[in-house]
Amino acid sequence: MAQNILVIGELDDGAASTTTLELLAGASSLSDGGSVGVTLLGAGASSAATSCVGATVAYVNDDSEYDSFRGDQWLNAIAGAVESSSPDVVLIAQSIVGREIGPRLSHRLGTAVAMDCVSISNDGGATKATRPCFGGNAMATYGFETSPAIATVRAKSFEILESGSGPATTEELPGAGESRTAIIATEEATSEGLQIQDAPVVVCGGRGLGEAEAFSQIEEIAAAIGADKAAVGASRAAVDLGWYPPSQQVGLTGKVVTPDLYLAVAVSGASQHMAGCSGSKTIVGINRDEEANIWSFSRYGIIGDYKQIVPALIEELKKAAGN
Amino acid sequence: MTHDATVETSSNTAMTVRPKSSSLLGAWWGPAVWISATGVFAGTRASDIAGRETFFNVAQPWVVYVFLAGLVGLLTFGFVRHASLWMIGRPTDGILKEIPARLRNVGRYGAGQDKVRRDRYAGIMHWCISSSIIVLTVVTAQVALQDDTPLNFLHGNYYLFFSFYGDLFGLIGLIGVGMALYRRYFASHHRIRWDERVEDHLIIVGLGLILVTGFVVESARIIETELVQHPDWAKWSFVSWVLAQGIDSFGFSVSSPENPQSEILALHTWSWWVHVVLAFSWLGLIVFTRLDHLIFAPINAFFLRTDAPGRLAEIKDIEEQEVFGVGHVQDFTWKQLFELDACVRCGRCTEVCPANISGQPLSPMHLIQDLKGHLADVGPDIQMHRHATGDAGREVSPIAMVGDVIKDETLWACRTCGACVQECPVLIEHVPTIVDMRRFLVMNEARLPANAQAALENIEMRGHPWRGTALERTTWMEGLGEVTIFDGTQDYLYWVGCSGSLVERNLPITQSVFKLLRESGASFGVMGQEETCNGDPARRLGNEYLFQILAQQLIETFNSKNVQKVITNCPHCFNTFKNEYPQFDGNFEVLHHTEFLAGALEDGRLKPKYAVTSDVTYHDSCYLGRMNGTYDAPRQIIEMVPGANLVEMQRNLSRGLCCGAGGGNMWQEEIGERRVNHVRTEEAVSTGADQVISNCPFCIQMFEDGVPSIQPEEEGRIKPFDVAELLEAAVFGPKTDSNPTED
Amino acid sequence: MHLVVCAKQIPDPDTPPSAFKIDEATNSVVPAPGISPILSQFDGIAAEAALRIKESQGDDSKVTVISMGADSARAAIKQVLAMGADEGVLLNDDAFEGGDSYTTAKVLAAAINHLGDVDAVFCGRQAADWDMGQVGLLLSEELNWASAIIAKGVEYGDGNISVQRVLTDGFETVSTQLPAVVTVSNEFGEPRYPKLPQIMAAAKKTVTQFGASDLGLDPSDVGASGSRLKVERLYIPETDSNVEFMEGDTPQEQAAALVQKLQADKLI
Repeated sequence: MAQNILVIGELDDGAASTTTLELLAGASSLSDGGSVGVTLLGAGASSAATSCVGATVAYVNDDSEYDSFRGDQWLNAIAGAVESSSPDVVLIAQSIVGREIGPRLSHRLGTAVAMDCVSISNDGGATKATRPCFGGNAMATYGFETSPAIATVRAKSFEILESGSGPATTEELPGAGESRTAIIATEEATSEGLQIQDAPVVVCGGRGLGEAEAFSQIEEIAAAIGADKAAVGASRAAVDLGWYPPSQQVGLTGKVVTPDLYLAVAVSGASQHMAGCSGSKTIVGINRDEEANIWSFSRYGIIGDYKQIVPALIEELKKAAGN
Repeated sequence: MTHDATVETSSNTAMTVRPKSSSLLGAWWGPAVWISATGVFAGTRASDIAGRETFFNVAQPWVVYVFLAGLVGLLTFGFVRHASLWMIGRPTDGILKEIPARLRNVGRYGAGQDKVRRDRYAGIMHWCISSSIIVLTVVTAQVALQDDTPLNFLHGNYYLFFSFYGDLFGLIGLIGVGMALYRRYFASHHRIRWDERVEDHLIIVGLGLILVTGFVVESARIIETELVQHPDWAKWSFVSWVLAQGIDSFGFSVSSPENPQSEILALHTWSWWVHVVLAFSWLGLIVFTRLDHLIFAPINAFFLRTDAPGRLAEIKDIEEQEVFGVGHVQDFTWKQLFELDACVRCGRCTEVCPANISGQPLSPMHLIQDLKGHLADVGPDIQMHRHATGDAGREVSPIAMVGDVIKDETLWACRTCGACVQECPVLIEHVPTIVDMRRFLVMNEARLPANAQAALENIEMRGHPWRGTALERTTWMEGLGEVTIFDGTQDYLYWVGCSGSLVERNLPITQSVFKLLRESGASFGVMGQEETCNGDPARRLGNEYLFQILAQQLIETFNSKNVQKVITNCPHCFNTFKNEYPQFDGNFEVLHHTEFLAGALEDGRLKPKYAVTSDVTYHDSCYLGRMNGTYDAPRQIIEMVPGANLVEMQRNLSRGLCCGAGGGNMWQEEIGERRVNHVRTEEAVSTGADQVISNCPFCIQMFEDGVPSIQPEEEGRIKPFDVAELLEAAVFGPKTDSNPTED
Repeated sequence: MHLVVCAKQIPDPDTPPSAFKIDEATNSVVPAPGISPILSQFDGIAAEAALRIKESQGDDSKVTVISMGADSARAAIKQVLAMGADEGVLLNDDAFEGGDSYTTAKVLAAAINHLGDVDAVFCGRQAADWDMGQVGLLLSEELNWASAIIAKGVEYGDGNISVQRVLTDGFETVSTQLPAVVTVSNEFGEPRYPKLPQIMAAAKKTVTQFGASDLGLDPSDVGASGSRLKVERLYIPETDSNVEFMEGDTPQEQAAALVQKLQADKLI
């Protein structure tokens, strides 16, 4: 059954963000012939809208006031798009935008939102949203009693459409109005180089390392794989102990990463951690514990003390890179 | 340190090894008694007319009594001053109970100096000095009695004997002083420099001068009255006789009726005055210096606890306390304050402290001295404040005792291993004092290391300290067949403990104990899911409140299940059940698994059939060894394992070094130069053994962590095992699956 | 200043995976034997944030902790009281059961309105059971208050609350007027360890209890009958446990084997 879907898009340096494109891909398959709208707010929105493959309508405003996200300003604009497109489903990325807009929009529209979903399906016109819960120990599938169904969706839940056309029509949304919140300061995260969410390889250290100093070895592994390919992550336990900066935390309350290779060193694989990396293509564990939870997710593993294995691995990786 | 551990080193041939039973008066005073007896016997064979004029050549002998009166006054003043400081402390429970045991302690540790001789050199030195001071005081007192009472006994054979042992103990005293001078000024013994003060020089040099001038006085008198007249009497004062001949050989003038003012008489007069003034001044040092241990040490031996050393005092009526734990000096008991005065700064505690050995911020000696200094600084003001207002005066001190005087990290570095208490020659109990201050930090101030906090919170929320464990309390049962849940019909409750069930490495140990218990035919059950933390880590980390709640709940559970006898995996659980639960009317018969297994081997219920050819060393856990004196059972088991060859570490038995995890340090980050477990692992490795055997899940974990750091090469590494794992291999044969250390 | 902390009692997230069981018939988690429910960790952090503001504001400030849940939730309330909160409120009514985030927010909002003079509400960034992270925002909508979410730092001054919030690639400090709802993240820091005098004072405090009628709520608007989102299926995901362990007698051999595999799979 055809559904009208509205995607709340986000801009990344003036272009539609990767996740926005993923959501549009998901929306076009879910819509089953219905309309797919996308909202884009901020400087460069109208030009970015043209690249929104999968969308049939774009709702835009180029007001640079929108560049810094303030929920109340965005909500007013989005309400206009909702009114105009009367969607059955609203999809938003599980980002700072989605985390705030999802619940607030659901309240304003008298409906509900399912947060942090990993899959959305169209079950004969009824929208079903599936998401991990209980720290990743369980999955729950939700149905909606009210309409529209709103869901915030995790990055990389859908594959971007390789080809297709952009929106046929573009509608202008109102400019940013007053806001109750003032943004006083922003601060970039201090991590250098490759962002952990973008890296094709993530090497992650856990509490089992035993000491902050051991992270230099984890960094060495990443360097041996290649500074342009590999980034370093840390489990929440390690971050809470102050061994590594919070910006690199992988897990339920940190970054959700989906690299091609996720190398977990001395990470036990608690479900809260796996919630942040289980989408990785290949997970490799190094752990001394034969019973560790990480093995349930791993493709390859080495059982043993990381203190022995890591130096050997660094050596082997360097050899491999030399060839 | 002195490498005298051989005293307690067991050999492979010895089946049982006991630390030598501490002797009472006998061993130490034996020589003195023997010499005295010989002297009495010899004295009976000499001339009956021997004797001398007391206070020979002294014009004003009454001066001695002026000095004596002054000294008594000074000592009284000093005592009252000290006592007024102790009195600001809280009452000390039970100090007048078990008097016979307390008197025995005075004999053993006070008179017998049982702890002093744990350092052999210092033991001999101290015995020389202390016995000489006591004997010479008796000698001097006899002179006074002879002179100033109607008693007349210093003549004849007894006089000759008197001369002999006076000289003998003068000589012994000089030997002791010589040993002390050598250690202080020539060997420059490291402990001596840790907190050296001017008084230390005064005491030892002063004593030397007193003894020397004493001999000079005696020699001068002998030259005047015996050398020529009664050479056979003179020889009894054998030291002075030799010295007299030496002095005489210079040809000084001797008195005669024509020449009553001789040079020797002048020497006698001068040296007498110097001797007397020095002696009384020196005794006066008791009031101002560590010489006060002469009085306080034997009294502190009387005050020594008579219960188990592994027991921490309970805070009674905890909900009604104004403050929790000790954050202000007046919240210590007066016994704890008294102890501070007994400290002689010998440094033995600090020398054996695992934290100190590893360069971590704790020196028990300095801690005691800092508290003593703080008491002296603020005690008088607190006392006056109390007198004026009647309130506790916790605001009086301008600085915080816990935080400023004693740093938080110092308190957290303690392993509660009891090595300091074990070594202290004056019976100071450092550990309860440290835990009392931790109690203040945790309960009153909520100031504690993050990991310790996490462990305590985990105990509160989840009933065990192992945050984030993926194991259940029943995981270890997998593959063991039927595991009986204790229901009151079995003889023993096998208490697995949190570490035995929730830490991966310890599961094989738990399984070994289980299989051995089953093999022995014992009737036992386990509690499975119903086990909870018994409170030991909470108590040692300072959360007495949490401990009491856990203890009361568990005692209730035990009673409702009709638990009578408990076998524990872990020496910490063992100590808590055995020594601490009786404080809350939880009285059970408690065995550590090594005790049970040793018994089962002895009466043949377990038969070691398979050889485990291996050199093994054995690590005494603090809570089985030092705290509970169980040194034999685990060694007996090792001896019974065919092929196992026990190689002892230098520090073993009561001198064993902590693994580093005690006192809640399992859940703390270590600060300092080294980690304790690395130090201990090094010691185990240096024995050349293939296996390091212990009896405690914490120790095993600490070795597992320490070995790869000390032996980076995997080849030839020492492997940590529990005694039960070793015995399992001997009873059931080698495991078919891979080596359990490679987990 | 009157601050409210919303606290939820949840099944222990540290339950070992082997003990985590689901009753698929009722779509609910089976309580693991011997494992007690606990205060959601983020709510403890929210309480810490509220208490720090209270302490900076002096004696006329107070913190009220509110929990909607079963009678056992009193333990969670007591825990926050022990940290230093002044009053505790339990929202307990059969009508509240089986609700979703929306009905939860509705009940909490009614309770906050009932209290009357509240200046700010602190919630955890998400409850560590369902991990939705929306009650705080729904509450701000119900109350028509400003909100700031996922705070790593919170300060108060001159009627404004400024919140340092966690973004994907950095932090942003926003300021908003009171009243407001703030959700607090783990980056804020660990909650304090309660002092014993406060634990004992908390034990003596009475927890006020409100039901639907006390709050003027129609039972059909809340709980299962008022909820808009239904859990249709709750299950434990299958994990493909086909791990291949690297063989080798030495770490070198194992590492070499791994590198070979990764190269073959074109992962490095």
